[in-house]
Amino acid sequence: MLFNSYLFLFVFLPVTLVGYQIAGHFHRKAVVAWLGLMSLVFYACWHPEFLVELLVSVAVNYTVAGLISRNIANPFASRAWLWTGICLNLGALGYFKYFVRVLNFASSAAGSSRHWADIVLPLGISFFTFTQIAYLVDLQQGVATLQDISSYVLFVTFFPHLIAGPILHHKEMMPQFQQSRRYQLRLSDVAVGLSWFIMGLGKKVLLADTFSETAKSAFAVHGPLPAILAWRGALCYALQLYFDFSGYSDMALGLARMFSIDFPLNFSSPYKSKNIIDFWQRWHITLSSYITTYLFTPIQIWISARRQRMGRKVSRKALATPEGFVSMVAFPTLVTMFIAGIWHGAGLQFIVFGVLHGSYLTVNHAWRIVRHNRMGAAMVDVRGPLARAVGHGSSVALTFFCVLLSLVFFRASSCGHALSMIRGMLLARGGLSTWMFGGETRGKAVLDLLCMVGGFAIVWGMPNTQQILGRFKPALQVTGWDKEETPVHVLWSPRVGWAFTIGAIFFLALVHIQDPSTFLYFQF
Amino acid sequence: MNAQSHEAESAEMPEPRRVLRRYLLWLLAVPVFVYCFGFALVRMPGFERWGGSLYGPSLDFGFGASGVNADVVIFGDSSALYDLRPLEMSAALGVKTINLPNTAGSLAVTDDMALRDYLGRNTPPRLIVFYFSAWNLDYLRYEDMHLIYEGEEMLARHGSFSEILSFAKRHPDGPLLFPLEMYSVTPKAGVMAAVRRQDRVSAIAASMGHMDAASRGQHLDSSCVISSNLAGRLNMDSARSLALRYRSAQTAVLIFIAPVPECRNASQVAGRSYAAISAAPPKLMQASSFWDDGFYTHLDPSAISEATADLVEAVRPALDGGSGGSKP
Repeated sequence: MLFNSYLFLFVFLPVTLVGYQIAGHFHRKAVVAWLGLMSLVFYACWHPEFLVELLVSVAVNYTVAGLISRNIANPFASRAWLWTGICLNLGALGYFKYFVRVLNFASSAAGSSRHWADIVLPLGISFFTFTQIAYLVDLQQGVATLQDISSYVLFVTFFPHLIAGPILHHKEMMPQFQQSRRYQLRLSDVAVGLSWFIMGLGKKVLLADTFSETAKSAFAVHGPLPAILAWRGALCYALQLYFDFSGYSDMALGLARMFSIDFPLNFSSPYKSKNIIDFWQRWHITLSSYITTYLFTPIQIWISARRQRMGRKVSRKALATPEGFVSMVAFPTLVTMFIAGIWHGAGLQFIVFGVLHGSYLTVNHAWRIVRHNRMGAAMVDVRGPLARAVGHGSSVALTFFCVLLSLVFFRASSCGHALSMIRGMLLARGGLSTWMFGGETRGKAVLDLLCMVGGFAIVWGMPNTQQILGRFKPALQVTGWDKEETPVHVLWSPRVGWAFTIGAIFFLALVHIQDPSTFLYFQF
Repeated sequence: MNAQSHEAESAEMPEPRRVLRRYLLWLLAVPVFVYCFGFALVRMPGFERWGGSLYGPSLDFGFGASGVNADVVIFGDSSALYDLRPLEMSAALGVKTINLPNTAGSLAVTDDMALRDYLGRNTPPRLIVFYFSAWNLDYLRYEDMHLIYEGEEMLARHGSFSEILSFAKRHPDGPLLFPLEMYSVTPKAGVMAAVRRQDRVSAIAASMGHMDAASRGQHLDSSCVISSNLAGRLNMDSARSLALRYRSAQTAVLIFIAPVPECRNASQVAGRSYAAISAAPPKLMQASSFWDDGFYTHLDPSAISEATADLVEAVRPALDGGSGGSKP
């Protein structure tokens, strides 16, 4: 079931809210059971057969969690169970996501014409698998405790995050499911959550879907494209992905808030980033945090321990040496981003996407070290306001350009396709009129251009939804921009003016969702 | 739980419950009001002039025709709308001819509503011609629900409560989603008409029910194959029922099958017997005279006169012979 469908909006969501209110009169466990049940219904509405896979995954992980918990005093046994759990999870993920692709690749490489049909990927498999692996790891390390089955099922399957994140951490969620409080709908949370949800719905339906057609038609061409069409396609895709993911994240967080549950922030104006490190702190924040905690940090710790064993230093000073930087920063970063790339899909283009970002991050870290060494600890910016603004604008533009190049690989069907698109972007082909209008009608080209200008004006010129809702602490984290000043006139408050605005967005979205489109992150 | 936020909320909102309740009420009132207004909007006079879907103004013509008192009334699907010129027929026959426009999609919703409405406002014609593509003879079982919007628009605009209710029983989601679809379709069609500076209402009235097709892309070629989805539609119940309903002492009835493109499987359609509705098999015309728009029935403007002349020849004896026509 899609958030942007009439069935969800007018049947599933009202029924779930009413059931929550009724269950709240009985007991916390009734509420947890109701939300868990409705989450399974939500998942089954898409493909009922996937429900079995989800339930098997939850059952196996809960059993392994029980075994780890029972053997916690015995580090060897608990670690063995942990690795069993990790292997089972990764095995299932690998089977559904990569097995057939690898098999077909091997078959082609061996010159065989035999090809196997793709396995249908259970929705959200990466998300619920990662959530559960993190839980097992933390359980084995004594950071988490074994939960009752209904809380665990709800933690894994809670419908606002089940399909496309955010990736939840038990430390953030379990206390919220277990707190002894009145489980009733709070008017304030419903108002904030519903407004947030509608803002996200508007982003998805009114903005992301507007850019999807142009992006789709540009990426459907596998041959050489005129520069303007290639740029238009890439920029429209960047906007489509931005509003799609941002819209989904807003909807997920808004839905959870309606049930008085706070989710971690997942998306925070990433195209406003002034460098790539900043970008990954704003784009798919929960994935970044996950891979930092469960991949990057363990690799870095392992390398540091190895260096110490070999008598090498692991200090900040050692990190600033070329050899120290390569082993303690570049290597773990590239490996982590390589795996993050593979996580997005089995194609070579996803690996290039990951490695590109790994390289960007490495260069960014190196630049920071060089700058720090050159300017010393007290890096005081002595530039005037204009120079600072130009510097900031250039940083944002450079970061966006790097991201745009990587997104071409992210969207393309293969590396060759991505390179052909990038060649189209960098080499001006065709006559002046082709360059101006890409061989299309002037009206269509101008309309696309206006839409893109409007899209980027929203991306770069407007506060994001968390800032707009900033008075009501919309997510778990406190972020940098929480401290920034947001103009008072854009701050949301439960006034009639906002009700009209949000109501109008809701109606426009309803008009445009007659053929609901899926979210881009569903494929992961 | 988010205790801080609730503290913050109390600080921000002096009367939270009342304010919040009013906020949610207004938030939901806006879409509910605009949604309900859609039903009223579509029934307003002049809606077809400044709004309406692509076919809306054309289909509306059939409902507004009063005092026309035509001798020959054509009632059919989009092949009648696009492929016949009633003015040419009038000139050739020397009698007044009108086409009451429909599409296959609209017929699935409105059935003979336009014809009933016309007969209620005008004197009975001497002849009613039911002009359909060979695959639209059972239009009430039309399956492509994407194309029924125009019919819903006409039903919402001209239908009685019981007619709307009867349609709602068959398609419960149709009336529920209608205002949303109307708000989606109407501005686009209106803007397109404004950009092209078309007065769609006057154009259809001046031609007595003929719509000029803008270019519909490529033409068919002789290697074409009529899709099995169309060629396989053998049922003729709707056309048969129409003929039975409208044949009377004053009014003759003729069922005429629109020409079929000479595709490779054309004989599957032209070779079939139409005796059940007392109609002659369709004439085969060069495939290149048809647009390749997926319907296999819409003619290029250069072939319309030929199709019109064919119908004139079929109509002439029925007019000369007075009442009678087909006897299904």
